[in-house]
Amino acid sequence: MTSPDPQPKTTQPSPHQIEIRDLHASVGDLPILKGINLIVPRGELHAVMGPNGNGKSTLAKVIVGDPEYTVTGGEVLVDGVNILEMEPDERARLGVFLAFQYPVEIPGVTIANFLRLAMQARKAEGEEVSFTEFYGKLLAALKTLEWDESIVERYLNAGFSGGEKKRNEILQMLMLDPSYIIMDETDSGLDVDALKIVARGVNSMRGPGLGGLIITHYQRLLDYIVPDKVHIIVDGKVVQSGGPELAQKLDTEGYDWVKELATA
Amino acid sequence: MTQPLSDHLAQHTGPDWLTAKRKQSFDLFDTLEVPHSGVEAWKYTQVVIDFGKLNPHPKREAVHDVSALPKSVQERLSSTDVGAFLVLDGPDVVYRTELPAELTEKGVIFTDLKSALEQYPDKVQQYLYSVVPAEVPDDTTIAAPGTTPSKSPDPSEGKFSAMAAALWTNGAFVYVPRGVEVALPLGSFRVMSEAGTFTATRTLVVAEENARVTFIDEQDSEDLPGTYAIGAVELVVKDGAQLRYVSIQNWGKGVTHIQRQRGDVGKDAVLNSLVVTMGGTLSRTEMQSYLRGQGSDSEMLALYFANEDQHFDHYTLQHHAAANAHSDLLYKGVSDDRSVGVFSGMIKVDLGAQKTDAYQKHRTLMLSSEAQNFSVPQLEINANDVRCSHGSTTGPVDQEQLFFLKSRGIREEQAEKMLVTAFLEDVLGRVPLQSVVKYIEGIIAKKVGAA
Repeated sequence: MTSPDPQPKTTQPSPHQIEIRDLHASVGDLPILKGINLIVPRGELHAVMGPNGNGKSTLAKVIVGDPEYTVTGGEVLVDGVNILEMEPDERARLGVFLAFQYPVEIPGVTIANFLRLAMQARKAEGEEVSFTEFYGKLLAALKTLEWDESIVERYLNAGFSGGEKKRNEILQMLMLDPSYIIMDETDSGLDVDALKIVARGVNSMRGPGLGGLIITHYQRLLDYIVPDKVHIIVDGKVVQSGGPELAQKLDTEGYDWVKELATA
Repeated sequence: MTQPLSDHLAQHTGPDWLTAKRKQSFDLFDTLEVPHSGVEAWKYTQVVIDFGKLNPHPKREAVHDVSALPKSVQERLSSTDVGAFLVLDGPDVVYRTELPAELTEKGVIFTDLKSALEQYPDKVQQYLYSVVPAEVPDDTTIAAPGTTPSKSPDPSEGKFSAMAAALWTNGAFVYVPRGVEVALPLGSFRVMSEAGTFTATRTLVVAEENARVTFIDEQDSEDLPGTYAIGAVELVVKDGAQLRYVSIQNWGKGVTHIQRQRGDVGKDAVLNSLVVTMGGTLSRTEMQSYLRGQGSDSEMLALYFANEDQHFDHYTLQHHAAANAHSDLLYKGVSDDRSVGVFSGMIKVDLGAQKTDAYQKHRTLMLSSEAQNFSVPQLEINANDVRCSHGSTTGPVDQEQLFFLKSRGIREEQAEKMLVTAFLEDVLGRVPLQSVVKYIEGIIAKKVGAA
């Protein structure tokens, strides 16, 4: 296992970054993550690529605290704070947001009510989400996503197409202003038009305050959301890191050569 | 043993046929036992009641202004959109609004049963007791699992209906003539205001051929220890008619609520029912659809939320007596704290009721390991070309949904409340009565908030 660069012991403020240190996790008895090391500073979006079934989605879910997964070692530091002992809702309120690969349907909860309560959860005791704050933000987000206002009266993802569910994930992202986003194969099942809309949503948030991981199997999404760095995960470890050109190489050459890296 | 009750019986005045009927019902009531746990349809619900000490709810005077009504009633009335309503406090109508003139001109009647006996004696005599008689209807039975239902139910299942038949004091009477459509819902608001008493009521709604009407039956009170509400609701849905019936039981703590609701549904007629059970300490609500006519249709919906030591028992009957009829039942309930929930539902298909399409589903959300929920779905099918299905599910809040909400920063407690509300909301989505739905949502929110 490789160790991350040692952090200098100083009294400086915590770095604005997600740092994953030697992360191990399993489902039941099956180890999936076998020592992931990654640093994503705010201001950068990193692509995480790799063959299916090698731990990309597991990494996403472990970061946000999916109870299906057991962390068996390592740390995930968000702005210097280890979040692995925190409840999923605490992690979210720290500013971590996962755009799910398969968002759940919740009939009976309207999108509007859900968004309002999620925003409210971020407020201090006694402080209310104002109508203007909510509505102003909502209208802007819907415009970016080319979505009619009536959508928010519908039940959360109930009867939505795959593309609508993904668009709804981006809507939540825009409304909740995360500091770190993790996009878990958001491109899967999207046609080019939907892909462009999703990318526009993400790009509208890009800036020095936002860091994140874009998990994808294909180069396709990265044509629209150009990553600052690309990491390749094989067999639960980061086997290669590089610039955007790495994604293009995977696109033309496939994954065979990286699988060899893992066994080497 | 039932001295106060027989004294009470003697005080009822009315036409001879009714006096005879009351007397006959009382005699039946007197001979029957309270259903015990050996009676399958009452297996999980034991009513503890001392008839010797049961006193009738005191009389209440009518008021002429809403502001003289109890605050909670005023509040409720301020947000209702029913076209006309009665307010009953215990045995008496204390306030009423009149039907719009255009409806009375068409022959629509909306009044209380006592007044109706004087003004429309023939109509009342024709229909009263025709759907919910004193004795238990022949088709009301649930057999022990694995056995064929016996031809007749246990007579004790008629104990409380006999009591309601003998001792009813008042209730709403609705009559909609042939082909008339009443657009705004009509309703009765029943309250009780004296602890340690009982009130027996009877409601009669008649929709003649091709008539359309909605009736809302609401019950609400402060906490009233040792108080009993015994009711019967008769729904006559003639050929081609459409009747929507909503009962909202929101009694205070300490109230025992026992009510048999039954519809007699004619050819191509539709009965939509919604049963909402939120209040009281012990509640037994029966909803029976007797699909008498070919092509008749019954939608039976319910939602309940039992917490603390509440005991809610829902009995349902979908009796297909004619061919090509359709029934669709969805009951959803939440069980919290130490509460007990019981659902026993029977789909009964008579010989000759071919092409029956009957569906029954009971879903329960369990929020506490101390809560109990019993589900007894039953089929008795005597025709060979039918489509019948039933199902029952019980489980905790969906963990995947819970995780999703938490992943958006919503705290677990709040997320659970959202999911509980959503679980019940699903039923309300099928009820096209905006203000009633809003009211029910308010009651749910209060209960979920307190959970």
